[in-house]
Amino acid sequence: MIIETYREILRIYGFEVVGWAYNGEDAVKKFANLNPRPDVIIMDHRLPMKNGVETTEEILRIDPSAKVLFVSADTTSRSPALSVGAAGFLRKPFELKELVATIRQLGEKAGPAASGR
Amino acid sequence: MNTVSTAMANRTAVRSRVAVLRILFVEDNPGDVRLIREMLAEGSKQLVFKIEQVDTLAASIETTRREKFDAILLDLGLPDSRGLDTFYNLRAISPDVPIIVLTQLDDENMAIEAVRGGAQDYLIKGRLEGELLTRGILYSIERKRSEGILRNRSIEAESAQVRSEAYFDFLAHDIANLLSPIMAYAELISADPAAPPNTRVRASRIVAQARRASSFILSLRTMEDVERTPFDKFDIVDLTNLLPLVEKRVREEHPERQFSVSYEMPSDVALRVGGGVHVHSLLEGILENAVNYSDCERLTMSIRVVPVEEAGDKLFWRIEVSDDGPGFPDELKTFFAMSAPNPERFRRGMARGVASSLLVYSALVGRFGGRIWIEDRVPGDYTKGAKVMLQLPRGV
Repeated sequence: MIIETYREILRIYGFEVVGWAYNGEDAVKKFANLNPRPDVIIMDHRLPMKNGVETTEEILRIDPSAKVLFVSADTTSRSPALSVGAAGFLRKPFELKELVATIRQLGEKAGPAASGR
Repeated sequence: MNTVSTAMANRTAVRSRVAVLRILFVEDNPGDVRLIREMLAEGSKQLVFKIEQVDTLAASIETTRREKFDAILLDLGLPDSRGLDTFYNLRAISPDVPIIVLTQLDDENMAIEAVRGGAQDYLIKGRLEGELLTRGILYSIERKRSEGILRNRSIEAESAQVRSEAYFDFLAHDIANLLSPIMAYAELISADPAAPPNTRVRASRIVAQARRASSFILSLRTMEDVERTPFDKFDIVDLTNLLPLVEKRVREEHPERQFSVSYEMPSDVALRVGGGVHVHSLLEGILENAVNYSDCERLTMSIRVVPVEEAGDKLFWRIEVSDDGPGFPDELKTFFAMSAPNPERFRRGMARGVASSLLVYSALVGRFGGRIWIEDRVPGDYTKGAKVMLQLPRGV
């Protein structure tokens, strides 16, 4: 539901969702195969197989310039996420304008505006 | 036969049942062996001791591996082992069987050591007589059994606690997750220029309500963490570093707000307080509250940290956050000062319409052994701004 919701809403706000995954391992695989790489990755924490922090670490190992926006209802994941190199953190539930503003800000740092998961 | 006499008959049957207690007797001195065997042979009408006697530690270990005993009578001085090691070695093999240490009068200290190390009792050989020995064995078995029950109960209680914490975490986390799409779609509708104005207003109410639910969950999560965690398990934080960090965070969260912050705090000592991450969110909440409710163009805040000493040599740091915003009317001041260190008071506060975050602040501070209250920046005129006073115990 979360993925479907944000795929629809991010499109409405003018972003292109280039990929999505329902677990950490799949996320790493999809990220490695995406060409070009997404400008922003939106990452949950409590994922099956591999949690968001571990997944973020692996993605950053593949591409240290990847911009991972961490989104979780688990606030205890904030500091481990930022310490492994996530570019931002939003506590769920967040407001759309907050999400959109943060993606734009991260996307600008990365290059042309777009997002993916 | 009526019920009374049936009951009596049953009781008689129980009474006449003879209990057999299996005793492992570890002793190498033939004299002591004979003496104690004789004492135990007396037994009683309801009690028969079935004794297995061995004279070395090796044999006792071997026997306990093979057979089950109700109690062990252990002499500490054996041909293959002397002193406390005898006890520890055997206990390691039979941790669930009560061990009663037999000792000479001049070895009493060692026997006491054995009891400290988990022996159920000790008996002095020269002072033994039948009844004392029998009672010693029976009490030891009983004590060992209640110890086991208590231990099992506390293990059960602990794992039940862990499970209920996991359910709470699951509940809090997943409701917050479930709120996400509700909030997102409602926000989408409220921002849709094509939607009828009424619909947009209603959608924005859904957003506001979802936001309230989310902050309520966060408040309860915070309370649960604070209730569960002993105070000394939280990190000690230094206000000198923390306060500017909190200011930075609030600026990042509210880039649209203009405000200035000035500090006045002792620079020659470390301003340490306990409470870790919760002190951070507490201070962030206080600053954020000032910034959120300010209606002026540019808010001026000043933060002062002063040492406070109260009766009983209690030392605190008091953080005074003043602002020239709209201030707190008196009825709100009392809400803030109301401490809510238990769920019932929390519920009552919520029922009175107090924001859950405010209740959490006061409850947190109460839990940490501090105080929070609000004064007028200009005494007697609340419209000139507020002064939030946060007093926390000094960390060591």
